[in-house]
Amino acid sequence: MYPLAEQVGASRIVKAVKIPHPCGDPTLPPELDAQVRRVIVETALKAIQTEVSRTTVFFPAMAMSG
Amino acid sequence: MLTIVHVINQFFAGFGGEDKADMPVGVSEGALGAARGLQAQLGEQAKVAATIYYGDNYFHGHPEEARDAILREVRFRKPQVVVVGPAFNAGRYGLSCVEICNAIANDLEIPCVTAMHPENPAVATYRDYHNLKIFLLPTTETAAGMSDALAALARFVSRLGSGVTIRSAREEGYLDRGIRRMERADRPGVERAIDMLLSDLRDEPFFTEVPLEIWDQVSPAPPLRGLSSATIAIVSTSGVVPWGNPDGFKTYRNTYWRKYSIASLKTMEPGQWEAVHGGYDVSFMNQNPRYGVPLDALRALEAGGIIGRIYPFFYVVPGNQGSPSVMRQIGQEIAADLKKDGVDGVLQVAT
Amino acid sequence: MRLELAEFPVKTIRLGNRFRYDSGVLEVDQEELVTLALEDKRIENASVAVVAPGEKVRITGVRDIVEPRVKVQGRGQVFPGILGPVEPVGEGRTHRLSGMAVVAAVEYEGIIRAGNAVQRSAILDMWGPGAEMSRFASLVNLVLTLRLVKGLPEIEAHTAIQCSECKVARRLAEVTAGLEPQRVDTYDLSQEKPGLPRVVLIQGCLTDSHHPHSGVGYYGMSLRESLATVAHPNEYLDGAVTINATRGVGYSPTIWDWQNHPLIFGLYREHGRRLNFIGTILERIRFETSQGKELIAQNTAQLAGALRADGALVTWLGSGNAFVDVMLTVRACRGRGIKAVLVTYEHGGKDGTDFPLLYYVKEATAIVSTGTRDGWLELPEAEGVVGPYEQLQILSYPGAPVVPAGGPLSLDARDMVIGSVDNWGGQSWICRAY
Repeated sequence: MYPLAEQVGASRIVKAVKIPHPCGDPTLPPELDAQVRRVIVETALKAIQTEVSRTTVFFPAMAMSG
Repeated sequence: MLTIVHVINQFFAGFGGEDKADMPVGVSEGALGAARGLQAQLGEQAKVAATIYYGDNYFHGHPEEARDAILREVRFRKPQVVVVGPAFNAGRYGLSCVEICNAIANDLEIPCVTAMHPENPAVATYRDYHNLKIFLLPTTETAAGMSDALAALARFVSRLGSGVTIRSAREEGYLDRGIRRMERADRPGVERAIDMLLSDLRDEPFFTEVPLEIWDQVSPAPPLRGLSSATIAIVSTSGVVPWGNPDGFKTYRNTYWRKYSIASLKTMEPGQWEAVHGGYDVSFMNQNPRYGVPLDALRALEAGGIIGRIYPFFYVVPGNQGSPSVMRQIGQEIAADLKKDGVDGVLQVAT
Repeated sequence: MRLELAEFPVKTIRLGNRFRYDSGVLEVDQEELVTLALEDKRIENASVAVVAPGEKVRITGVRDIVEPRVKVQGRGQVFPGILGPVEPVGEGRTHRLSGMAVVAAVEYEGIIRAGNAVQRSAILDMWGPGAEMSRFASLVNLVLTLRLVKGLPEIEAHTAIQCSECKVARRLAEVTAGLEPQRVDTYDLSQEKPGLPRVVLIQGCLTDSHHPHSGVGYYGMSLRESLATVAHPNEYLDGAVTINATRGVGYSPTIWDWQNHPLIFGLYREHGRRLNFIGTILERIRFETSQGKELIAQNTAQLAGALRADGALVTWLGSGNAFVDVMLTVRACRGRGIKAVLVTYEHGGKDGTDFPLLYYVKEATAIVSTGTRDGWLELPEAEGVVGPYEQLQILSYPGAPVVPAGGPLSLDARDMVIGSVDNWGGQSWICRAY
């Protein structure tokens, strides 16, 4: 759900799971849910170490619905 | 007959160009330079009691003195209306025009009218001021449109001076000040919508009732270096707050932020936190506050030496119908707090 | 599908012991209505009151508003799927009592604490500034005050409220059986005039797929994460579209609004004159991923294209990120050569200085403003309060303080006043730039 973040000019945006649960997936068993959370956070840390010149969306490297 | 004052820069007063841009504020009785053109357009409607002039560079180099001097002169003349500019596409001049109008309108409560090209960057400043006592009229890009600009200014002066209530920007021909008021139209919205659609279908021109807005663009911060010694903080608009909502956040339109301690916590336990937010289904977040505050993932990275440390608080303002200007202010306050405590990087979780 | 809507205007409602309608005066058997409501064991108390425009009365606990209608000819019955089986509606003849409404004012404490399915009720002032801003204050209102048994989950509460208000609404309309209406309007799209542009109404419906009632019901069933679908405008007139009856909010429509949809009436008026009204698309919005949002926009535009629409009026209900879906829909329509005019309320914040809309696409070049939903309101003290609540929680958060319902109120938004946001352009509100 990043179109709004792009519009207001957020420089680094990480595409997370879904509005009611951005950092995780309740349909997964707890260990996998925690792993999804970890990958999202790691992507965010990668993003803040990346040079960007304009609004950039970062996609975590895993299959997520939507 | 109205009394007005015309404020212009050194060039339009006839003193010279860039070489005279350091001139301090001066005043001349009656109409000088471009002000004569204004007086001609005004005819018997109004008298230009004085022309105040200043150097463009002087104004920006000595903003306080320039403003005070201009205010002094205007106060002394007691005009009903003040005209400033026109500035056409000159950015620096345009900005000083807007600043002068704003100062006079606020300090002396005299209405001001200025004019410039709609793409002059100073127009954004004019709109941000939201000052109902200043009006900006559109002009051509260059001073080739001077006589039209002065004619428009003269007409507006008469209108302002007559005491009539000035109507909306579109009706009166000025650029709006970013203020929108709810009023009655002459017909219901459905009829206006159908008419608008039919015009569009016939490729005829029409006026949209809500013009597109552009958000201001933020320059990206340089990338973080030295992650393994960095302090990382979490900011969340998910609405996760301590159970019981001790700071009384609303489920919408919040106007303040708080920070809560996570210093001794390894993770966000359900039952200790609740999501106060009216804009999404909070049941997932209540069952698992980590979805909004991914502390567990960050702790693992901290333990593994990937990041230096986690800032011992997380910041909250529940989102949902947040007013952009309020949120901008909150963002600035949180940023100041983060800087004060030496935070290097921020993860903001938004729902 | 040809529907005749026969109108019986109501100017006065009298509570008494029989049902009768004559020359604008509706007599109502009070006891029978109460008995009707109490048939549902989930309702432990019911009462009926009448409040007319101009009375200095504040109605509290407002959850929903319904116009009395009943089908006297044609298949099915009003509020299909709710009062009776799912049968197609929208043809034959339906009687309506215009100029009045049934207001469901309900005492109910839900189980859900926060989020967008939490129960909420609104108020309605029948005089003064509160009346000026609500489209329901000019109706003669029959207030059905209900108290639900304690501990009901939200879906039970919704069903109990919705069934009662619809039963009462239909029962009232039945008084007109066999009588001559003041006027009959015919709603029929089967004839099209060649050469006129084909216009579709795209109705965005914010729904919450996670909750027992999603917010918009079609034949009594919640719209969830479905793709866009076609609905005949006459179905709305017969009460096929309904809401979550536990939530009365200023910026959300009521059943009355679906029954009296201004864009449907407006397009019908122009049908065969300046345009051909080709129908409506119910577009579920507020998908929770950007993929979902793009998908519904494209799917809706495709459906409009399949209907050979030349133009569309696009509107929505809801708040927040659902608006992104709406703007993407405008973009998708224009991308297919379908001109799209968006009808929407604005934000603007307290002073009208904030951005009017929270998301833009450059293709949204044609927008009609129906006024703001923001802005502080000062409501004066009332002389009387009707409805279940003597005290109000005017700020919505867990633990918010209460104030006396009849006293002066300072509200920070229009959310609390039912009918105070013009969703679909039925009134002449607009915002102008200053």
